[in-house]
Amino acid sequence: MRNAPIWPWPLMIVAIVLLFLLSIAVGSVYIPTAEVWDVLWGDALNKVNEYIILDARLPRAIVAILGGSGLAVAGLLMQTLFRNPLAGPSVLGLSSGASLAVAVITLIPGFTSLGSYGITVAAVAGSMLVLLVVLSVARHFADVASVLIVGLMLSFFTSAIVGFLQSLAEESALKAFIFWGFGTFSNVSRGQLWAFAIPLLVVLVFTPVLIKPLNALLPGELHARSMGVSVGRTRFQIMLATGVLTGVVTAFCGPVAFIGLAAPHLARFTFRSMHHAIVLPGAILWGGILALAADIIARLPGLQLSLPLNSVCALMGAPVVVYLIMAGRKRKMLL
Amino acid sequence: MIVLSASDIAISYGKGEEKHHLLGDFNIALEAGTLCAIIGANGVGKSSLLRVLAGLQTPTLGQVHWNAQPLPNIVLSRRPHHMAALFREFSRVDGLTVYDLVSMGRTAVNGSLFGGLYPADNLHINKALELTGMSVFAKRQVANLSDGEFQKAMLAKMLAQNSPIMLLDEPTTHLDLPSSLELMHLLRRLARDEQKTIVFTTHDLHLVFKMAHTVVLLGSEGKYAIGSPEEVAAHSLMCGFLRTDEIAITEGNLQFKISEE
Repeated sequence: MRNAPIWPWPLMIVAIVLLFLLSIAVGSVYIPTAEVWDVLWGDALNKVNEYIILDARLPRAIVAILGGSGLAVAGLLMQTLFRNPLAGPSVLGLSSGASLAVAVITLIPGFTSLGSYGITVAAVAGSMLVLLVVLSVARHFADVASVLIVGLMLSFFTSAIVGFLQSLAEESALKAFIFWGFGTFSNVSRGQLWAFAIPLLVVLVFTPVLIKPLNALLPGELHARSMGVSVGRTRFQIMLATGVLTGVVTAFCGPVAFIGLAAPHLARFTFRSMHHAIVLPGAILWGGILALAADIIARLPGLQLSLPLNSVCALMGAPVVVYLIMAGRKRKMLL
Repeated sequence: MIVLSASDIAISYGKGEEKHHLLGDFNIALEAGTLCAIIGANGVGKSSLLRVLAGLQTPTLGQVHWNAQPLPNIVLSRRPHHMAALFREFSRVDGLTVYDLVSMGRTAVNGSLFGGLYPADNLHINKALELTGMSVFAKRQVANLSDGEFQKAMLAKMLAQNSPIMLLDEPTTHLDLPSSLELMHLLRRLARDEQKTIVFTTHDLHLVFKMAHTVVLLGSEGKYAIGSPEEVAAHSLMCGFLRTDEIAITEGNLQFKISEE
């Protein structure tokens, strides 16, 4: 009775499985498909290839799926909370907040000893701090334009501080920070995978609880309250979830743009619905697909070097977002 | 039995010098099966009063009771069991089917954690769609509805909620005359057949005097009149509301009478 098409679900699941396998199969080192298969089933002959697949490509593919899904959910939550099709982790300055925190830790000598967990915690705190400012503005000014402007200004503000820190930093630290800023899904080692995956999975498992309040929020806050939703509590939960998702992904993978913005739109489009019971899983799948695809393009076989993930995402994402927003207006499938 | 009551309600906005009193010492008690209209000039506080009755705005003074329980004693999540509301501030959500929209009324009361529907919910939804004449629209996108159809879909959502109190803020605003009449007729039937207590605000005096059981007329400076349509039509506040002595409402058939010299 929902009247949303069913056929995209199996297609998207097949796509994500194929992209996952492709992501493991291709890379700068050529490994025959049969051997990849053998390694995955645990009988590897070549130790080097086993290492490449299990310690580099497999974690990378898992990070791409989880990171993409996490950003997609963060984007969806932002878009519904602000009732704005352009809201997303990078547009509202959340990524810049996380970037600032990462810059402080990687660029200022005293902080570097904090290590990867320190970076994660700082990035989560940074993105939530920006969200807090944006939300307090949103509370006082009902119109979304001012909220987006504040988000934009906050990201200018944080980039200014980041630039300041960069000008003072040592060369090696600066290089590390710039490479972090390119974005990549390959920075998480097999040992760190848990630190990356557990917070994301905890939040993703919790998000279905938000389906009901998110739907009630679609016609506005007054409507949500009339339906017995505590708007303050829901806002807090959304804020916590978005802060953790954006913070963790940004800490490990850099400020990955466009996936969080495009995936929810693609989900609404595919299923022709804004019902969150459909859009939430749809956005999770689309996020995984986009991230895996971008990651594969970034290290296309034949290229000796891998392209910066962020450039690939922007080149791929910007036209897609423009198309979705234009077409969404026409089909009234926009927030 | 009194389903909806409010006692000693005062509503004021602003602070200090700029403090503006909309309403003071307002009392109302409505029985099950009453269709009540709130009328008055723009800015006298019709919507504020409705929001207070809906528990969406805290009055400066006074207490609202639903089913003899004071509102602060009813937790937020239980409120949809008592009351369904439709306000002008609710914006249209285009990317849903009518069925999805109406099912939101069920998920507010069926206790599901993730917003799922139980078999019994489908019965409620189908009944609500039938009562509002929206059954054929069930699978349509809300985006493709006319204003009147959308209003009916929202009404179906409120009905699916199956709560005894229904509050509507200017439900006939964008509707043409036949649609307004149809909507009012439906509200009247709901009050009679389903024993709903319905309160709505409107500017449509013609409809009010023909359809409502109880009329609340809000005047300036917190004055108000409450009673049957005949009583309110004859009330001295009515002249103030109509702003002139040349227009009056005739006693017999409650039509406007314009006296020309």
